[in-house]
Amino acid sequence: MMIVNPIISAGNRRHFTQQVYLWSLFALCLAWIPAKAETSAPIHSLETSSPRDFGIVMGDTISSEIRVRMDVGYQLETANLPKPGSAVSDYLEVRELNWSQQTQDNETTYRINLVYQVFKGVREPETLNVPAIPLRFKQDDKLVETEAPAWSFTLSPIISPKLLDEAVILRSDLPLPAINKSGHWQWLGISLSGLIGLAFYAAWHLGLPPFNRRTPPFVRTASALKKLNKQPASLINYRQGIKLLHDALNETAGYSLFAKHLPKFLEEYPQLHHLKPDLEQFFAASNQAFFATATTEPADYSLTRLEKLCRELAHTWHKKQ
Amino acid sequence: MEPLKLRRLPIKFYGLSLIFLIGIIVQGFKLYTIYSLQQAIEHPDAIIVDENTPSKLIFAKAMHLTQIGKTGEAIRLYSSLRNTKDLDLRARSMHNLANIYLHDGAQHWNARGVLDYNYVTTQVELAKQNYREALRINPDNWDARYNLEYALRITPPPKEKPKSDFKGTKPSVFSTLPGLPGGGP
Repeated sequence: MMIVNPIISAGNRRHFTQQVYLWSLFALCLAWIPAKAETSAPIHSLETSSPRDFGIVMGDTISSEIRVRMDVGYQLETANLPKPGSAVSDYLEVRELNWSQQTQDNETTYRINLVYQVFKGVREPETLNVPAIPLRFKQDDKLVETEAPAWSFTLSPIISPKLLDEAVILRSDLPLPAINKSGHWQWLGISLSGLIGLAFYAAWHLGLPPFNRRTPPFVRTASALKKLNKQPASLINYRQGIKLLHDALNETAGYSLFAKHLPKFLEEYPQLHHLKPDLEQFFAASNQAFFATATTEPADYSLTRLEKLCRELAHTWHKKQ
Repeated sequence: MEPLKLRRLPIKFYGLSLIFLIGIIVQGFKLYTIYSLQQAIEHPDAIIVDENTPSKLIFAKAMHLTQIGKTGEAIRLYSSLRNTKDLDLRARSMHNLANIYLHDGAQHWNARGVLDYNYVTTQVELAKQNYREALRINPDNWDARYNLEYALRITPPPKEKPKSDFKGTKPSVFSTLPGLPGGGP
């Protein structure tokens, strides 16, 4: 500490003043050297921002973003950053920490996002500090150390400052969380609907009630044969057509109907008796299609004829019903 | 007579049927469990807590014990939920646990003030720890915020350390060391 003697002469005082100026200039030069070193350092800029620093109360989470722009190649030493769950002061805990790195135009930008939680009770609004965060960047054996500056925010009380301690009524216990059943009911409904839908599909596919009465087997098969007939003629399609008509006959008979069963079948269904020659030819054609070596549908018994027979069967069946 | 051969259903049909059937069984079982749990919660006095008791039943029992004034047992049950995987339930347990401590501490503070300093400090400190834990899990719990602020308001100021009467300096400490007893070697 420098004490100026009030009884020194005017000449001495001028000399003393000059000396003070010189020393001040020297001190400024000394101060300027590290400042210059800082500006030429790999860190181009360092900013800290927070969405808001007011209207914060007990238990609030406050976030801040640290942006560091620096030379390319430096890596942030994350071990140095505060860990989530750790306390940075008596009243601040770090809840979240995440960071990202972006390189553009020979410059790397680090964004460090910190979320703090405040645990301090105040009786009236108070300004609190978020401490500075030390940052370290490393490139090979070069180490750059800096710190994100401290910043402050205003913490307000939740309980009215005018309320006496004795008059404060504590908030009651929390109840058991409601057990959500709606999700289970939804899934149960979906599963049940799906199963019912599948049951209907199976009934329709197999010609079981309620679909069997509405669409007799020969009508269904006639429609399927029509679709099949629109496709290019091939042995596969022809065999498929024959199989469809066999299925319709089986379904009508209630058992697998072979050529040998035909007289019995026609006894059971006398209205189809006039189609006996056609049915016999169909069985013969079926026998040929499945057991003879043919490459295309036979000219004397085409898919069109198969469809025609099926329509006649359907028509006769319909008239009987 | 040969039996009727039914038309085959596609393989997808069987796969989907199986999925839906499993869905019905699983969801039906879950709903049955929930309704059983709700039945038990409606009669908390009948709940017997053991190591297999579901967390929600422990919570219901602890709430019931608090209501009938058996706070010691309630503290034990709430504390056992400190590590439950259900975070919401854990936060609620910590809140209610803190409430027990704070009610007790506040009663003593308002009735006896600093005369019960140590007891109040302990209870309020435990309350603060549990409110903090509840708020760490769920910062939106405004009741916990309110109560924690109150806990911090009634935290008794630290007791002043008794002043030392010793006024000597470091060298004088050595000067006060006893010397060798007379007659020694």
